[in-house]
This record gives sequence, C-alpha cells and structure tokens, in this order.
Amino acid sequence: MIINEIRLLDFGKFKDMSIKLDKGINVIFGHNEAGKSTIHRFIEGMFYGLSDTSKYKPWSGESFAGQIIYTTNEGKVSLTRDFKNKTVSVKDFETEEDIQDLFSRNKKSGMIEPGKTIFGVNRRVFKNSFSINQLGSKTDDELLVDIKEKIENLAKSRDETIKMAEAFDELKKMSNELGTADDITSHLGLVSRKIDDLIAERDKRNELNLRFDRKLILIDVYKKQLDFRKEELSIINEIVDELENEKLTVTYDQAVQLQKEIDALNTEIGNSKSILEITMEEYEKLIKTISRIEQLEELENDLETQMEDLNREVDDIKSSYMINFDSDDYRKMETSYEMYQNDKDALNRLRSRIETIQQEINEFEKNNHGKILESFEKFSDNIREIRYLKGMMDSDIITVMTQKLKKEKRSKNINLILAVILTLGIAAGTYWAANYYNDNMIYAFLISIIIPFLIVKNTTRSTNLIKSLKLEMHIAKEEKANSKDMLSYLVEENNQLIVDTDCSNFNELRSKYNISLSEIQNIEERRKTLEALEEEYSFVKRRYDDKEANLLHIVKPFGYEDLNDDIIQDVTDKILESNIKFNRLNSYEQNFEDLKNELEETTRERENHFSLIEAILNNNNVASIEELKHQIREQKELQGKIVERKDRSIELTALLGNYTMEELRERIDRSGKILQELPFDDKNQVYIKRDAILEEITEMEERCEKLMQNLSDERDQARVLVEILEELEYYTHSKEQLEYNKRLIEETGNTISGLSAIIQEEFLPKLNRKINYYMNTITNGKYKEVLISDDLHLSIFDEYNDMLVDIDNLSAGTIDQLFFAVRIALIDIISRDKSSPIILDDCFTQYDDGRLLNALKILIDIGMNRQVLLFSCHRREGDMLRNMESVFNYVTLS
Amino acid sequence: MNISFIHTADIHIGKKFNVNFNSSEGKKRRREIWETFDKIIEVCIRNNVEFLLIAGDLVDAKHCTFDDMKRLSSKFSEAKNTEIIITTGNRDPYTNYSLYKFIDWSDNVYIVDTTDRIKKISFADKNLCVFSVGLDTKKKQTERACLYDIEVDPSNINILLAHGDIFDNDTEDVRIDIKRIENQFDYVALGHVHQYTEYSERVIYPGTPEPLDFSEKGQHGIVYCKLDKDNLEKVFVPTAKSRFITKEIFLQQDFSYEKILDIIKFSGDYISASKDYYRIVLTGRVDMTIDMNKLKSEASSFFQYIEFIDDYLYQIDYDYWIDENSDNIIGQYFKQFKASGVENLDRQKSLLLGLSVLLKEKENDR
Repeated sequence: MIINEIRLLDFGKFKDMSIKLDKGINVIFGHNEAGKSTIHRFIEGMFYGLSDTSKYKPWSGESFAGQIIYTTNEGKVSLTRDFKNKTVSVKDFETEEDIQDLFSRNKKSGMIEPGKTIFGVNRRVFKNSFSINQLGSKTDDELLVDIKEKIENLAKSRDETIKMAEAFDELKKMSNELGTADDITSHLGLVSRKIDDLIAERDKRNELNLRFDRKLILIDVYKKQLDFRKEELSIINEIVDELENEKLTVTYDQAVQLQKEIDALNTEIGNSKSILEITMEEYEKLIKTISRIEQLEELENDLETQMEDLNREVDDIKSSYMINFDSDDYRKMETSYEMYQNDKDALNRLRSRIETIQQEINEFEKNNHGKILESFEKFSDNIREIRYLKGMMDSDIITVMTQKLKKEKRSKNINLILAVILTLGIAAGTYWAANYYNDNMIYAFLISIIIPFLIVKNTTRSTNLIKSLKLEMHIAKEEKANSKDMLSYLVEENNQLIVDTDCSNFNELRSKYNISLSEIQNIEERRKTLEALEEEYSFVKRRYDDKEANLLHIVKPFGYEDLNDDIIQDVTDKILESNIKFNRLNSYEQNFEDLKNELEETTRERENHFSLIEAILNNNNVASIEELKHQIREQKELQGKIVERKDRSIELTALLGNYTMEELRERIDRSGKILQELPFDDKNQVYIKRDAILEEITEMEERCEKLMQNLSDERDQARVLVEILEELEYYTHSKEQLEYNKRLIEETGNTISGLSAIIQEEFLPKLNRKINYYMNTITNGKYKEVLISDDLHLSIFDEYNDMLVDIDNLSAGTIDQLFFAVRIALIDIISRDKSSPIILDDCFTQYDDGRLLNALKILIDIGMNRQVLLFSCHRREGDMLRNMESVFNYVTLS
Repeated sequence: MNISFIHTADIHIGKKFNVNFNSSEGKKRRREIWETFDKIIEVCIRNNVEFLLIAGDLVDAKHCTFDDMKRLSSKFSEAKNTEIIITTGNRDPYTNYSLYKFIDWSDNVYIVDTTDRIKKISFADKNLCVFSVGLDTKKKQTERACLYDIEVDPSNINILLAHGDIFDNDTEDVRIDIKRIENQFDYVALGHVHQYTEYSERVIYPGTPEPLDFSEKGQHGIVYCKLDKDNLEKVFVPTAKSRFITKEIFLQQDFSYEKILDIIKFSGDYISASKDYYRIVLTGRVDMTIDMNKLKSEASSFFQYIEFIDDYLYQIDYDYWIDENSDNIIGQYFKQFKASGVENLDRQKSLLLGLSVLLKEKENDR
C-alpha cells in the first residue's frame, strides 16, 4: 500500500496540516521540534489508535482528529479518526462508500482496527517492524551484534525482542536456587538435611521409647508377681491367725491337766511317808530320753506325711503343661507380633503400589512408543536429506559451468587469433627491422619459432580445461537426475511414515514423538521406583517370614498352627501361668529337700537315744525299762510326787501368765473353734513362709519403685516424639513443595524449549530465504546467500570472489545492507501487505557522509518496491538524493 | 438429694497435629489444650463439683508422655473434693501397658480398668452408681456386649459412662446400641463424637472442650449437670480458648490485589483473628497479574493462624495473548495451552511462570 496523503486536522500542534506523499522515497525534513515525531505518532495513531491521547491533544480547539488517504490493490481509501470521540470511519475515496465491514474489529472495544487489517499485524509488531529509529547511534559492531541478536531471537522465538537464551537462563537460575537434595547450600539440600536429622532424632527417640516400653513390661511383670505374692500372704496370715487360736486351747488344756494332777498329788501326799533310795538324776535322764524318743517318732511320721503331700503337689504341677518363661523369644513375643502385623500391613501396601506401577508399565508397553520414536527420527533424517537434495538441485552449477565453458572457448579462440596476428606482426616487424638495419635474420627466425610455441601451449591448456569442464558437467547432470529419484523416494517414504504412525502431518508426529519421549522418561522413573519397591518388598517379606516362622515356632507347643491376636493373647497368658507354676515348683522342691534333711536328722537322734537307754539299763542291773521303772517307782514314788507337785504348780503359773483359768477359757470361746485342718504340717513352716513372702514383697516393691523412678528421669532427656514427628511432617511437606516448584520450572522449560525448537525449524528457513532474496536485491547480486547454521552462526557467500565470508569480517556498508535485508525480510514475513511503507525516524543522524550515501543507495533499492518515509533534521539526505539524480518527494516542515 | 457433676470427653492431651501445623503451632495448641484442662479442674474446685466424668480419649496415648500423665495425676489430686471417674477410649485404650496403670493416682481418681466386663463404681453416701467399661486394642465387638447386661438398682442414681459411637458411623467394636440401654440410666455420659450432640435429654456427647481441627466447628465446652432421680438440670459451659473457622471466598476476575486482601483481612474480627484458627477456601477466578503467594503471606500477618485452600483459577484471556503475540513464541505458548483443553491451577502456574520469564526478557529489551 501507499500512503497518499496525511491530514492532521487537529493533532498536537498541527491544525489542518496536509502532507502529500509519493510512492518510493519521501524525505520529510524539519528542524528539531518541528513535529516529525508527532507526524510519526500520528501515522501510527491513525492505523492503531493512541494509547495515550493526552500527549497529542490539540493545543486549541475542541476537535482532535485526522485523516489518511492511502491506496491498496483494492483502491484508494480515506481513513478518518476522531481521537476525542474514539470513532473511526473508512470510506472508498472515490465513491465515498462506507467500507467498514471489510475491517476487523477489536473484540473488546468493538472498534475497527485498520492497521491490523491492512498490515496483518498488531500495534506492537507494527511499531517494532515498520518503524526504524535511531539506527545511526549504533556503531558497526553494535549493529552487527544487533543483527546477530535479532536473527537469533527471531529464529528461536519468532520475535526479535524475546531473548530465549536469557529466558532459559532465568528458569535455570530459579531451578538452581531451589537446588538438589545433595547440595546442602540449596533450599532443597537444607530441607533434606533437616529431614535426615529429624529422622535420626526420631529413630533415637523411638529407641528410647522402646526401652521405656520394655521397662513398663518389666514393671508389669513385677506388679503381677507382687499381686500374686500379696494374695499368698493374705492366705498365710489367715492361717497364722488360726494357729494363734489353737495355741491358747492347748495352753488351757495343759493348765486344766496340771490342776488335776496337783489336786491328785495333794491327796496322795497327804497319806504317805517319804522314802528316798534311787538317784534322781538317772531316773530323770531315763524319763526324758524315753519321752524324747516318743517325740522323735511322732516327728518322723509328720515329716513323712508332709513329704508325701509335697510329692503329690509336685506331681500335680508337673503333670500340667509348663514352659520355660525365661526364653527371650517368649519375652519378646508380643512386640514381635506387633512388628509382624506392621510388616503384614506394609507388605499389602507395597504389593498394591507395585501392582499399580506394574499396571502402568504394562499400559505403557502396550502403546507403540518405539515405533513413533523411530518414525520421527527417520522422518527428521529424511527431511535433512531432502533439504540437502533440494539445495543440490536448486544450485545452478550447470549453468555456471556452461557459462564458464563458453567463456573459455571464446578466450581460446580470441587467444589463437591474437597470437597469430601478433606472431605475424612481430615476425614481419622483426624481418623489416632486420632488413632495415641490415642485421642478422636469426632473431626474426627465433621469435617466429618461440611465440607460436607459446601460443600452441596456451591453446592446449584451454582445450584441456574445456574437456574437463564438459566431463564435470556430464557428471553434475547425472547427479541431478539421481537426486530427483532419491528426493521422490524420500518424500514417499516420509508420507508412508506419517500414515504408518496414524498421523495427519509432521507436527502431529512431532507431538506424538514428544509425548513418547516424556512417556519413556516417565516410565523409566516408574521402573526405578518399581525396583526400589520390589527390593523393599522382598526385604520386608523376608523379615515378615522370619517373624512368622519364629512366632509359629513359639505358638506351636501350645497347639496353634497359625497366628492371630487371640492366639498370641492366649499364649502370653499360658506363659505367665507357667511362670507362676515354675516358681511354685522351685519353692516346693526346696521345701522337700529341707524336710528330707530334717527327717534324716530326727532318725539319727532317735537311734542315739536308744543306745543311751541301754547304757542306763546296764548301770542299774535291770533287764528292761519296765523293771527299772517298777523299782524306782516304788522307791521314789513319794518323793517324786512332792517334787512333781511343786513343779506342776510352777508350770501352771508360767502357763497361765497374766490370765486366770477363767479368763483363758473366755478368750478361747471368743476366738471360735479350733482349726480342724491345716495346709502345713509344721506350724513353724507357716511362719517361715510368711516371713519369706513379706521379704519378697518388700524387695519387689522397692524394685518397682526404683524402676518407676528411672522411668520418669529418662523421659526428660530428649525432645518428645510428637514434636519431632510434627517437625518431620512439616519439613517433608516443605520438601514436596520445593520439588513441586522445581518440577513446575522444569516442565515450563521443556514446553518453551520444545516450542522454540519448532519455531527454529519452521520459521528460520523461511526467514533465511527472504533475507537471501533482499540481500541479493540490495547488493545487486553480489551477495546471494546468507548462510545461517544450526547454531545460528551467520556467514555470507561472496559470489564474485567465490568464497564464504564470516559476518564479523563484513564491511560497514555490507552490514547496513544486511540490516535492511533482515528488517525488510521480517516485514515481508509478518505483514499481510507486501508493499507496506517503512518509516525511518532520524535514522542516519550520526552517519558520516560515506555511510549515509551507502544507506541511501539501499533505500533507493527498497524504494523501488515500497514506500519509504524518511524523517530527518538534516538537509544532507535530500542533497545526496538530488546528486544521485534519484526521483523522490521532499517535504519541508515549517 | 441431688448430685452435681461435670461431663467431658475427648480432651486428647498430647495430640499430634497435622502437617499444616508446624512444630511450634502444634506445641502451642497442646499447651492450649492443657490450659483448658486446667480450667476444667478449676471449675470443679471453685464450684465444689462432686463428680467429674471423663468419657474416654482423655489423652492421645500414642504421643502422650509419662510426664503428661504425671501432670494429669497431680492436677487431679488438687481437686480433692471431686470424685473423678475416667473411662478409656479408642485413643487411650486400656491395654497391658497403658500408662494409666503405671501412675499413682490420688484417692479421688477412679480409672475404669476393665475392658471386657462392666465396672461398677458406687458412692453409697451419694446414692450414686457409675457403670462403665473401657476400650482396649483388641477390637472385640463381643466385649461391649456386657453393656447390655447391666443390672441397676432403680433406687440409686445410675449413670453410664462410655466411649463409643451410637450413630453407627464408626467400626463395630466402638458402637453402642443406645436404644437397648438408655432407659435404665438417669444419665448417659458419652464420648467419641467431637461436636456437642444431644441424642436425647439425658444421652449426651459433650464434644471436645478444645476443638482439634477444622472439622470441629462452633462452640466447644463441657456439660455441667445437677441430677437426682427425677430432675436433670444441665448447662453447656464453653471452655475453648480458640475456634476453628472455615470461610469460603469467591474471587472475581475484576477484584484487585487490595480488594482480595481486604476481603481476607475482614473475614474475622480483630479479636477472633488474634486467637482463632482460620482456613480460607479461595474459589472463583483471579486476575492473572495478581501475585497470590505475596498476597497470602501479607494476609497471614493479620491472623494468629491462617491456612489457604487453593480452589481458584487464574482468569487468562488466551485469545488476547494469542492475538497480541500473533506468531511469536508467547502466542504459540498460549495456543498450546489453550489447545490442550486442560485448565487447572498447576498448569496455569506453569503457563504464568513461562510467560513471566519470556516477558521479562522482552521488557529488558525495550
């Protein structure tokens, strides 16, 4: 399109100002503050509206409007905009017909957007592309950097202002700030470290708690034993009470007996005379010994009965089932069972996780990702091959060769003719000279020989060159034909690949490829997780099986073949019961041993007494005890009775103590009946037993108290579990958050880099072609091709010198040319209108004359195809264009 | 003659709190639970309350320490004129190694130490019989059957103290078929449900005296009763230091940063914000330029505790961005997101992160 006229009806400082513009170059000259920038903004504002109206509100007057007349292929149009009321109208310039319907409208405001419809780009792109500002402030190097950067940005983001490398750096920086679990200087590292510390602290705390629990178990056992002992004590105390009652009864009976005896003796002594002949010592000794033997026999009987009873009880206990409680296995059984249950739950959880992951892997394996990957890679290879082949075919090597051949043939002929003329001339001249100067003919002869020889040599070289060129051409043609076949084969193959992978085009294949790639990565991670889980599963399973075998081994003697809470409880109860039985058995066995010793002692004593009696009988010359008794009785009866009476009286007083006979009787009656049967055969045994139990109880109570004391002390040493667990959960959650953020950054990076790669692949060749086209045009064919490598390195093919020139080695002029080629190429690609104007706003202010001249030449070239609006505060541009006799429109702003 | 008693349950001393509470929050909350417990004892002492009935879950046995138990015992001994009857619940089961067993309780404390048969605790001078059975970890449904075989002397005041579920919501081992027994008792003191619930005039769950999480809304406290054979007077006494409050805020795309901040700020009055626990559920749409993280952290300074549930989405005008950036990478980026058809907050965050780095470079260039 061409802008024919701009009319600033009321805009900024302008009122009813009109500027007519031509196609080609328009130089708009004005001193600083003459309003060049205002006109520039006006053009932009007319097509796109003003974002900030306040700056250009007219200095006077109510109205704020403008008009632009422009011509496109469809015809001449007048565009009028009222900036104040925000209305736009577009009319056919000739017919005045409203053609608003041909323009797209802004979705939000509903206003038509002429710029967008005409140029096919939005305001931002228009500003960046169609306007070129302050070019002159850049040095060659800066411009070069600018071009490189623009091309790189365009190639990667399709926007010259978006720097992808820095965007990626930014993401990387974010990701690095989060860090990794291994790097303790990073967030993630710090959190992971903290989690490790907390896990260690938790384990330590758990260990302490476990020790604490073990102590509880111990205390519990002691307490149970204590209860058992206390129960035993209460039974024994009851027995002791009963024993006390029996003693009183015996005392009373003895007292009554004594009283009777004293009464009888009183009667007898009253009628008899006293005689004394036999020694009392011997008599008393005999009597004592006899009564001792009787006592001992009685005792022996008692002991035997007791032993029999004990034996019976031991047999009873032994016949019931018992187990050794001291085994470690039994002690740990409940803990071990709890761990076994935990393992069981853990196994189920692991199994279900493993199955889920396996299912995922199976799902994955069902999808044919391998084929997609292979197809995509094959497809990409083919595309590269196709590009290479196309390049080969497009290159005009044959034409170049044909031209060169023609040139060579022509030069060969010319050389030949020239040589003949020269030879003949020199020969004739020499001959003439020789004759004239009457010199020797030899010179002429020699010259006429040497020169033809040189000519023939030169001609032969040319002929050889022509031959080799022909041969090369032949080969090149053949190659070209082959390439064509190859090309069609490759294209066919690619189409087949698309069909094979159920895709409709390459982009779909590419997205499938990306999905497959990420799927594979994902599934790799899943596989690793699976391995770890299976390892953990087998570890836990082994432990679980060990525990189960161990527990089954424990419960088997109790007749159980499997495990559950009830069985464990039952076994525990049985073990406790057994323990009690064991203790009882031990004490019985000790008792039995004591009784046995006592029995032996008693028997020995009794036998000793028997020998003593025999000695006494011999001393008194009597055959039997009865006889001796008789003799003594007769002789000593009376004396004995007196002594006996005295003894009985003392005995009675001692026996009664503080009581009278009547009082004693009363007490016995009050205490109830005498105990009929006792569990112990010997009364002393009862007391011993009671004292032993009391001692045991005191000891156990002390032990319990000591344990309880330790218990509370130990708890104070470390932080409580709940605090550790809460902190651990908090940090684990924080870590998950950080990892989530990191994943988010990585996913974002992947998405952007994927898009960037697609843009580079699709957009760069297009841009390159356009740049080539404009570079070729601007440099009049000197530089036909700008090569952009995959890593976006720029070089230019110098056609005349047949060499590749690195962009860094280009002259300032060529860099300017390249800048405009890139700029116009971009406008071409993004713009709908292929002939839209470009606006240069004080672009060349700082150019020296040489460089300005060069730049103007470029603009003249550009101006052939599109309108150029060149705003300047210098007259140089106009002067130079006039000197070059260029056709251009010159506008002076007053 | 009537008796006075306080009925409470589910105090959960030593409780471990969930992940949103960091360690210091958990510690603070446990301290608050202790303070509330102390307050209950104080009420007993000051009002000469004759009985304190604790219907299970007094402690969280898994995490409650020995020192906690000693502190309980010491506190109970202060209320020497109050008979304290404690039954056990699913959180403090009376197992072989339950810490209840290893503490020297003062004479006014009665621990229900049976789990398979009824324990009857009689106070002849007050004409009161309390029946209870504790919970253990065996999860035996049959053990609770003993509840249905209780024989009461109708001339006494009979109270059933039990931890369990009468609404058949929980596992069978903690269920109680209340219909079979309620008529035998003058009062049924229950525990397990954390919200104050009146099944009937005389069958009550007092709820937790101090709420424990966001599911426990509203008022929390204890039940103070005066009871004789004919009459029951009962008063609910609030004890909770803090409440758990959940608010939903529906965001709209034209809400500014300041407006959203104000809405959050004013969702609780000054006093409530300084002592209660707030959960804000954010729904609706947010302008994509608003930095929600910054906003949340700014809002947090107005509350002693606040947490957010992100249920909102950013308002993203895909067409605008695609249009504004026609063919460049930003346009492509938005196109790709739009084409995927999946819109959730995670994806949006990724999109906005990508946009921010791309735009940042763009801004730099300008």
